[in-house]
Amino acid sequence: MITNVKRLFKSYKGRQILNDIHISIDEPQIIALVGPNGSGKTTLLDCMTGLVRPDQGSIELLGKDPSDPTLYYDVSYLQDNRVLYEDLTGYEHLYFICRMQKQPLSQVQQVIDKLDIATYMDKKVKNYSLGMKQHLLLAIAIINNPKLLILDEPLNGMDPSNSINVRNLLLDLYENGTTIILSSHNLDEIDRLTNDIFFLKDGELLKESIEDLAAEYYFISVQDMSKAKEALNSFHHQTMTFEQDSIQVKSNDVDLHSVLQRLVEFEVNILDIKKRKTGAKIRYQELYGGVSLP
Amino acid sequence: MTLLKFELRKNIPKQKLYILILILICLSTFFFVRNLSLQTMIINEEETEIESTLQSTYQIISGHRNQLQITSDNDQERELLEVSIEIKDRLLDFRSAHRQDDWRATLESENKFYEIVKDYEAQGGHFPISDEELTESYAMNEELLDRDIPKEHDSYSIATPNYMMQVFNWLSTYGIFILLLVFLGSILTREYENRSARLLFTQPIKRINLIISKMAVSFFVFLISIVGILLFTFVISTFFGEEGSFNYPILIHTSDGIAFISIISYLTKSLLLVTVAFILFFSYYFLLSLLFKNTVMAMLALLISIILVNLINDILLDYISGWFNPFMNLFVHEAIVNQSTFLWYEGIFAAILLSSILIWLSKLLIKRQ
Repeated sequence: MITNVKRLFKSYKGRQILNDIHISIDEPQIIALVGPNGSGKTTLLDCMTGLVRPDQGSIELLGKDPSDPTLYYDVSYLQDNRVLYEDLTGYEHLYFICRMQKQPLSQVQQVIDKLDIATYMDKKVKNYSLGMKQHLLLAIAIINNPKLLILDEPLNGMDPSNSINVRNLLLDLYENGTTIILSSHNLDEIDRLTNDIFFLKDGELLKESIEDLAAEYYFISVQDMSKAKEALNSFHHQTMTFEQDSIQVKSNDVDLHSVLQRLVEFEVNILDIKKRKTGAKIRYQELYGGVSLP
Repeated sequence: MTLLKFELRKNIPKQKLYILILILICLSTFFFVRNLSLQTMIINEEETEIESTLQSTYQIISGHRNQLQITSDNDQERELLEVSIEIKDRLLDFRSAHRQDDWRATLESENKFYEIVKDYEAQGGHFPISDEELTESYAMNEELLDRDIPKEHDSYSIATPNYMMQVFNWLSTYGIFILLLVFLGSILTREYENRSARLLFTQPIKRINLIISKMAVSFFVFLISIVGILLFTFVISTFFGEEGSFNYPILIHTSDGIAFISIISYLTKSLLLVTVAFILFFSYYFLLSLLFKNTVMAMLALLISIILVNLINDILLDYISGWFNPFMNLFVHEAIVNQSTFLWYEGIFAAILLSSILIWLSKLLIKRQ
């Protein structure tokens, strides 16, 4: 098992940040962790990599405890850019990590070439832009060809062309068998990259498949939801979701005509029908409501 | 080794390390310039002291004469008068030798003066020099004559070994704290504050190796600072001061009375004790860093602890054997020169043991984080 997180709880100053989190990953995939600032994404990733001790729960990555240093030959964690040493150059960071990871030193040049960052590797980190730092962090994270790559906001400070390059790099790694868990605010990139999305809301993890999110849905607004639920009782409930005033029906799975017929039979007043794709962005808006998109 | 090199690379080029060494060099230079400029004053001061003693002797002689005018048949008073006149004569010889700048003659005549003062006091007279001062000065002069080394001023010498010892004493008392405060503060807590420690924590590095590498780098910086300053003092005093002798005697108190060790022996012992004290301080500071993860808080806790140790150390010395008191040797100079109750090395074992316990606690704590 690549990742096995069970019953994870973490609170800070009386506030429950993580509440009964379960994550189980059996085969290589790309998973996104999404939530507004302060929702606990970094705390969850920190717990998974042993940087923060959870209040309760068990974590295993590649069958090892996060406190086992040997785990980090196969697991990399890209953290925020403050972890870099301002007075050291990019080369110094990479050579050090390369040696600690017991990789051949030629690997340094390989990652530099892969990310096209050679021009500033001999400069001190304090002279880097945000995007440069993100690239260096990424180079550090992939230097050991990890089996599990955990990325906290990897696209921070990157312009669109760099984001595309990074996306392609991550897809390459995934195709070569690396499992990637990333937290990001860039929901469009998430749509393009990931297999599954975990939304963190009120400390709980809601899993959505990107396939489901990318599907087209009908949104049927009705006047009396309880009557509508009764009318659609015979339909398979996994194909539709009942919101406060609308029913969300996956267009591929259900015949809209039969749904509408059923509602009319039960004299449910239909106010509006819309067809649209959801995607991570829309789901984000649905989940976090008033929270503006980052 | 990679980790050690990385720690060195991170910490050695730090501007504040250079500033720290510069401060220590400036202070050493200041001491030397002060000592150099005070040389004439020292001679004048010694001269003044002899004159002042001479004046006291004249008053004593006059006192005895007055007494004899009242009681002319007092034999003891007559003997005291004769001895006090002898004191005056020997003092005049001492002054004369001092003025001729003949150090052997000066020491010999000074000791002859002490001998007659002892006789005077043995016959019931009272001379304004304490017994302790008299005994120690006499023994010191004898030792200097035996070793054939001229006397140096205790505090303001420009002879290389004596000046080095003076700077080292200052370093062992205050310099170690400056080192801790200015340099060590950044070695771990800053990494927690700026989060760079997290990069190391997610690499295949055993956390005990992290502690060891940081300790090794700190120790390296400490040694470089101490050895660097000693070398600097050696060079400056060799070029601008006097040669002196590393065999110069240092008076120490033992359970058997007064004894002497050479400056080189004093410096070696001091270096060992300072190193042990540094290891103890660093181990403790490392633990505080892990507890507070904040430089200011860790420093504050360290300073409070040092003050507390100062306060309780006297009590500990009264009740605990030196072998079990890890703080016994924190005051290096005292530990070496005052060995009447404890031997200078007694606290080393306890200090190393306590340091090991603190490092072990740090290892447990760093594993849990």
